[in-house]
Amino acid sequence: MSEKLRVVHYLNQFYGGFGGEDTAGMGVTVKEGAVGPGMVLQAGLKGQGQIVATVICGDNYVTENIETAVPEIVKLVESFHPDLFVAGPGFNAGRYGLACGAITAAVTEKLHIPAVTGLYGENPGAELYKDRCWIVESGDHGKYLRASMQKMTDLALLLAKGEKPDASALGVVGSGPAPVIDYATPAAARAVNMLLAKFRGLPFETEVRMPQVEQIPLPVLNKPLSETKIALVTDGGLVPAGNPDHLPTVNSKIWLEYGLNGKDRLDAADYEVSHQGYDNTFVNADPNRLVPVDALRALTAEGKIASMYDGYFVTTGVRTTLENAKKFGRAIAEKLKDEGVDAVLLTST
Amino acid sequence: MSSKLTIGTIYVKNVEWGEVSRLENGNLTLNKNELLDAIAADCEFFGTVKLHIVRPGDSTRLLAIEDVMQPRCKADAPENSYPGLWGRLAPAGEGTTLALKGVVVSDIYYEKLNIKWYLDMKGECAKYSQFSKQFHVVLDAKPKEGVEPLSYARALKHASLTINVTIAKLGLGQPFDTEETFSLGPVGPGPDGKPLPRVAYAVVHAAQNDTWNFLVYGQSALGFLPTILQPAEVLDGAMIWRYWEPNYYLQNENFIMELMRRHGKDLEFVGCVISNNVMRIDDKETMAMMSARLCRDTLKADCVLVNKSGMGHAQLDASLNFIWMEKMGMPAVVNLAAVSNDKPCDNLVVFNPKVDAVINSSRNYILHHDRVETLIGADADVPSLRGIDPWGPFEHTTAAAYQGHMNQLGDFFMTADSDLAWNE
Repeated sequence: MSEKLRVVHYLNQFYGGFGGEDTAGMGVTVKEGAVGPGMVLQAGLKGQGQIVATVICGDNYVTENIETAVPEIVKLVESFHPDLFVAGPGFNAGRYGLACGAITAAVTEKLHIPAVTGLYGENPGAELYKDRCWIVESGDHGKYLRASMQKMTDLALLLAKGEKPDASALGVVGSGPAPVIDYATPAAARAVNMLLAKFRGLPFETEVRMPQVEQIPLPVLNKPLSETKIALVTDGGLVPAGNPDHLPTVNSKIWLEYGLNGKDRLDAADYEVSHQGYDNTFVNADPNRLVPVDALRALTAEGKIASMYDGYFVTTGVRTTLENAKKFGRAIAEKLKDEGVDAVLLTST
Repeated sequence: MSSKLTIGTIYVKNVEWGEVSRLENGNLTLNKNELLDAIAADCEFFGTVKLHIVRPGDSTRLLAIEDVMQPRCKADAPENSYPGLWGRLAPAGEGTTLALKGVVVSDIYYEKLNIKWYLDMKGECAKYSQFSKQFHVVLDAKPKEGVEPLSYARALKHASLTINVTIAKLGLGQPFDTEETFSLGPVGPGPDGKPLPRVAYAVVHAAQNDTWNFLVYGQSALGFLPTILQPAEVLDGAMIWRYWEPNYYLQNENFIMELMRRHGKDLEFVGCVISNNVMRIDDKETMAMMSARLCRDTLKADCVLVNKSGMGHAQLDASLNFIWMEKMGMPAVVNLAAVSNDKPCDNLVVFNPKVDAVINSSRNYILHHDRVETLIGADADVPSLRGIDPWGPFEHTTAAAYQGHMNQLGDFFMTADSDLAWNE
């Protein structure tokens, strides 16, 4: 590489040297060269790149006008003809994190240049944009500036060379930006081309990058089963006849709870299934085979379990986004904890 | 010796009802009573039967349009078309098949099904379907009171294929507008002097129950073990979906056609393994392992293209196929249709980093549907439109709802049937 990479860096008003909360409403401004954390970025580039401009903006200005402020900033970034874009790191700052995520995603998608930011994994900005741009885990505090900027710079330089980064080694949050798909070429032709490249050991890019899934520790039941209160939860779409609450047949945005009022078993006449993803003939014939009220009542009578929660929770688990599934799960779990439920029988279809 | 299939196509520019059924200079005239007479035996199972001609640009919405097929017949023996299911048993995928293009036969399905499709022939949303470019001869038959769903489905498919072949036969003896021959003859080395890579195609198809099934020479796929089919057999009506997806996509199986067209150029297409999208995870694993075994040891493949029809479940089957292929030393690529829509991977149910070469063949949209003048299949109960006035206007996602927008096997409206234009 004879020419140095042209790098544009984004900072908020605080890191840009304009003050704290009192100046959070300030609009977009530009300083030539590196500013504040940009010094660390410039050093990390090890002579391969040059920060040509630092774009600075107030956090409130961006987050309160996200529809207009982000395109304004992207346009400004574009005017410097950068080869590389870096934002933050934004650590655990809520508004700064949103701004870093939104702007890095927009630069990735609109300017098609390598763009990287650094955020704490639980920053709302990371949650929102982790599948639309490269976000490196930065830790939750400014004291991690050097370490996180180093990872961001390493990732940025790899991307600039067109290399495939080792996402887990670099602490990437989420799956990174979606690959750009060439829908104008038929899928079959793209597939054969990819296969021949893979067979010959030539570079290829998958069109679907597998998301990194968080590991959830398995909870331990710390009492005997005979003292356990069990609840029934299903994603199989069982609703009262007539579907009074309009549970969708697909891609549900809601979950529902229905009381059992001490019923010994579910009567087929009282229920139906709202779910397009499986053959539900057998559930319509006997809803207890999806939500086993009869079996749990029998186990209670036999003393094998202490009791059954007198209701069941339901959603339609087909084409449900991971995010919604997580949201439903959390909300149902909170409700169950409040009700003193110890364990859940989760029946899926 | 390898077999050869020639598909000769006649383009149809207009379709209308008339006294005498004939195809002349691309103008198709059909006598409605003749068609009704031809399906009289199947009509025993129907309460009401209607036939419609629907034209591109009509203010018409077709609800529960479950099958769409190109009229086709074997040119020298029309009675052998769709063998084992409709026609006399004969090996499909050889000889000459006559196909009409620009017209399709479509079935409205009134029994309960998890996924029912709809199609608009007019408006902006019409441009999101490859089937709004074509004339439809629509079989709109309701089951007779007391007829079981399976009997209805069988009769409907049989009647539809009767109409299909009857229409196709009107083209017999006429010159083809285009002609393409598919065969897998011996191949020489590639331009670099080395043998061409031997590519197998492994595809998982959904077969859940009697009426959500596929049939091979009329045999139900429920309980099927992975099997080798000749690629041209799939194109030529040996395999039929009954009532899951339009058979147009099997008649024009996009991956098979691509592989056959490239056979001898930059690859050697060694064959096709079909397996069943079973429900239990252990069974899925078994099917995947057996498919991989057929690819490696029977077809002697160097690498494998994996595909599927079926949704979330089939993503798992296809991914397991991918993993088994690679475990057995064959690099693989898998197609997972429409797993990325508004956000990357929002419809993905597989999170295995080993699955590192994925094609995402299509995506979904939210479309606006205008109010229409004609609604076909008005009381056919489309689950995704419950609570919505089917006459419109409404907005709806194309996902598992809008016919002809995409198909699990890889077709996408943007590139499919690029030889036909949308009505302006």
